[in-house]
Amino acid sequence: MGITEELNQALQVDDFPSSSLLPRTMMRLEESPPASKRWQAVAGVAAVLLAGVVVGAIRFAHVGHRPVQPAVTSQPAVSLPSAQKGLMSYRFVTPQVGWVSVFRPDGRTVVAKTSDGGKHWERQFQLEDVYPGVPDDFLNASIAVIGGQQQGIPPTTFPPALWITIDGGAHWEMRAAPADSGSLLAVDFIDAAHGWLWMGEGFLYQTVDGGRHWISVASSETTPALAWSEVRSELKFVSPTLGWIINAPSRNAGGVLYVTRDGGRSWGLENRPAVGVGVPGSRISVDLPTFFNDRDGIVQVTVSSSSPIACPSPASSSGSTMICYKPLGTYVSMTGDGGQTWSTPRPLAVDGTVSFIDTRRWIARGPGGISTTTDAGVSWSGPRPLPQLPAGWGPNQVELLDLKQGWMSVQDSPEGEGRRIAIFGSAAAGSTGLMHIRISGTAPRFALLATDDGGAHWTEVQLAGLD
Amino acid sequence: MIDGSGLDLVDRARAGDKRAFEELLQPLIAPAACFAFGMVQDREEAEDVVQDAGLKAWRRLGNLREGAPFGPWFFGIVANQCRTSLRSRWRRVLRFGELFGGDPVSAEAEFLRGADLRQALKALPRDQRAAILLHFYMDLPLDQVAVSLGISMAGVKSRINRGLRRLRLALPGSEDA
Repeated sequence: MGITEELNQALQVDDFPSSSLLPRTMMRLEESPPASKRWQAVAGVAAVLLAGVVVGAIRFAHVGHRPVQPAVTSQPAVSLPSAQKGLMSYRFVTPQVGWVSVFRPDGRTVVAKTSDGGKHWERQFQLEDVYPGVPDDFLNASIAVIGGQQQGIPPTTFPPALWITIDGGAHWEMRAAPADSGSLLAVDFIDAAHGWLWMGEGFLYQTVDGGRHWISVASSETTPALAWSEVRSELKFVSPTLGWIINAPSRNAGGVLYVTRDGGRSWGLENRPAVGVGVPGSRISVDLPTFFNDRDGIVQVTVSSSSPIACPSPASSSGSTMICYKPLGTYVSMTGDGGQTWSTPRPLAVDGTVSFIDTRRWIARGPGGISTTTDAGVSWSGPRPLPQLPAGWGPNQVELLDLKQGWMSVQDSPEGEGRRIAIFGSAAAGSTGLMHIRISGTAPRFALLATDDGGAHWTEVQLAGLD
Repeated sequence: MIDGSGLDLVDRARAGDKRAFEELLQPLIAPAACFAFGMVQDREEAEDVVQDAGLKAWRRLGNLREGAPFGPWFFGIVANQCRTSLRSRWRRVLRFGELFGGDPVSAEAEFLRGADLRQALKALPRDQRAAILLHFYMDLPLDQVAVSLGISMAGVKSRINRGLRRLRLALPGSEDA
């Protein structure tokens, strides 16, 4: 049987497409004639949003969606008058300086910066008709890298590109990604000169001049670590030579960690942080290491059942494709020599997503709120409940610079509009947590909250100025 | 063979004639949906993709080069939309406090039930997957695949060859086209 026949057989679906597809498509057209060329660029992007497709930062494994059951809280309710749509990413690099990028419903990508802890935001950059392609890379107060795909028809007319500033956002320069290498999978810069680009065709490129020139250093033809994955492709370098990749070969597989010590030319499987965790057949997922310098780092490993379990409602009633796993534990493994050796993985005694301020001060955001440790997880504070959010809203990405100063993005869940939800299980040892990956079709609204007392109180950050 | 090159219809559609646009779209809608399904492997999402592509085509008819056939151009939009759809799924991760017990979910079995070829297709980079599907599944000749994907014929051949090579590795028993 030839490939054509095999494809016909493999892709045959009964009663597909539905007979209503053409009428439904026609109903989507506006009554007005096709847009004039002048307006097409913006309208095209807006159309995608209106169509229920959101271009989002899809690799933010630390960002959450609304839980099925809201966390118990004793904190007062917060109102969110500054809520808006389309948060892509944010990062505070100091207590005062923070970046945020937003993908607007009108198709603009807006990057803004605050220098007063979020009281005021100043728009630094705006792109039109560019789909954000990779998580933004906000290195510090000066350097930021935005990645995106210019929209053209035919689709590959315009290659993906990066927009880079090295002067705090005053000036931005576009750097084209290497042609004919697919779409952006991940980008990482360690300073204004050294960066890496992982492209969808399985190529890894390196630059030493801030993206003006890219050199192909490896490809998936010889390096399985670089094979394209729809599920997870994360890249992080800690020095010009030492870097890490997380790849997930399939939706059911956990994240697999690879390491390079020669700037990306060769990659090896790094499974030591996960040695001995789980039981035979369990699903093990390794995160990218967090490094605090070029020697000290931590890896978080999550273990879940290998067999899916029944998924909860209401998610299961949405008609979405879901996969749920029973959580079995979360472990950490540490290195003090740049990853040459790793400590024996040990289980964490708290629930939730853990972020690391340094080698000893960690923060866990779980269902009960935020817990902290100052002794590398030996003892944990009791959880401080999260603020009470409006109905339909849930906590998202929490960032704490220290044990006092922090921010949390919250977002709503466009119930009824989301079409795909995949749920992957993962949790701290003995906990009752689940890791969710929600894939939905409509941009949620978001708001930013700030705390300066370690999460005892949260106030909304005003987002005026983002436009 | 996809054929949507009714120039009169294109002119009328450009002028805002929705009926003409519907006539242009009608013979393409099912093949486009099948192509989208091959790309995203989810029937609901594939139909969404086609709807989005239809809307985008309507709005961007002015971009269709004078005299160029509508079909390959529309398939390019569908391919673009598939990529956008795959890349844009709004993924977020959260842990929260509820343990869900129960038996293995049937959705999982369904998910895994797909043929080896479907799995292998999914593992291909999108550009290679699109080229293979357009050529072998949609029967588009190479030059029209090139138009659809906005690349050269050499680029199409390269993608197809690389994609087939990967498929052969993933499916040891498969034959060449």
